[in-house]
Amino acid sequence: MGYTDMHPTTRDDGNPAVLVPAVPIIVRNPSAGTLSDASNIVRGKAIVDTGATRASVPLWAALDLGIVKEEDVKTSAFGVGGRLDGYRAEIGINAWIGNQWLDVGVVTALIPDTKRSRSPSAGQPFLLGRNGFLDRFNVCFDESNKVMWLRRIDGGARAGRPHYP
Amino acid sequence: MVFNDPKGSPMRDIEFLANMPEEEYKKYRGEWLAVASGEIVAHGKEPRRVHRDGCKAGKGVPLMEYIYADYTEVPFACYDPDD
Repeated sequence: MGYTDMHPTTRDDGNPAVLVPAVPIIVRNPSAGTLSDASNIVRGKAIVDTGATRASVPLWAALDLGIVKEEDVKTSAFGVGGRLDGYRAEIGINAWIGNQWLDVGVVTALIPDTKRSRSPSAGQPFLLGRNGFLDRFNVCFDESNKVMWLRRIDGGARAGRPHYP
Repeated sequence: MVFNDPKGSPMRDIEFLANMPEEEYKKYRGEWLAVASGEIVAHGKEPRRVHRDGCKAGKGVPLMEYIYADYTEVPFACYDPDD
């Protein structure tokens, strides 16, 4: 088990820093190169988002890593801002949990096409969602202490597909 | 391209961002920051360029962070209808 502090993401006049349950991550193109290949990775912080069905990567990072091309076939997704077009692609993720990089594995991510969105988001974040992360880690949000506890799930739960009423 | 060990701890860059003074944050609102070795190595509104410039700074692959401009709430969720 490891933990990660909730990281401040922004501040505003007169308000304390906003803390979000975020994990430092390395995103890589699983079909090109290795972690030692600088052109094959992007480093960032991913919000652990229990409302997201799967991971999400900003379009700029996916294009940079060659994970998608703008002419690829699109899918649709829904978010707080409503429906948006995007791509679905495989990405490799390593997450900094408990003072070590854990190989989360290859997951299918949604990549919103924020260039053509009706509500383009310049700061589209990295997200870790249920498929590919929350089915691989048990997570406890300790909001009062601003800490998030994570425990890797071993065994069959990895392949599980969550069903909620 | 110079490349520091990606398996090294990211906490130096995380702590740099966490401890940035309020005035520094204000300067970069609405921009992406590329942070490496505990310092800002590139910034701007175009993340691909910021990332590329950050990598060229010679301090390793930078941590990318967006500084939100106008709000403090961070509501995100993404629903894939095929799931």
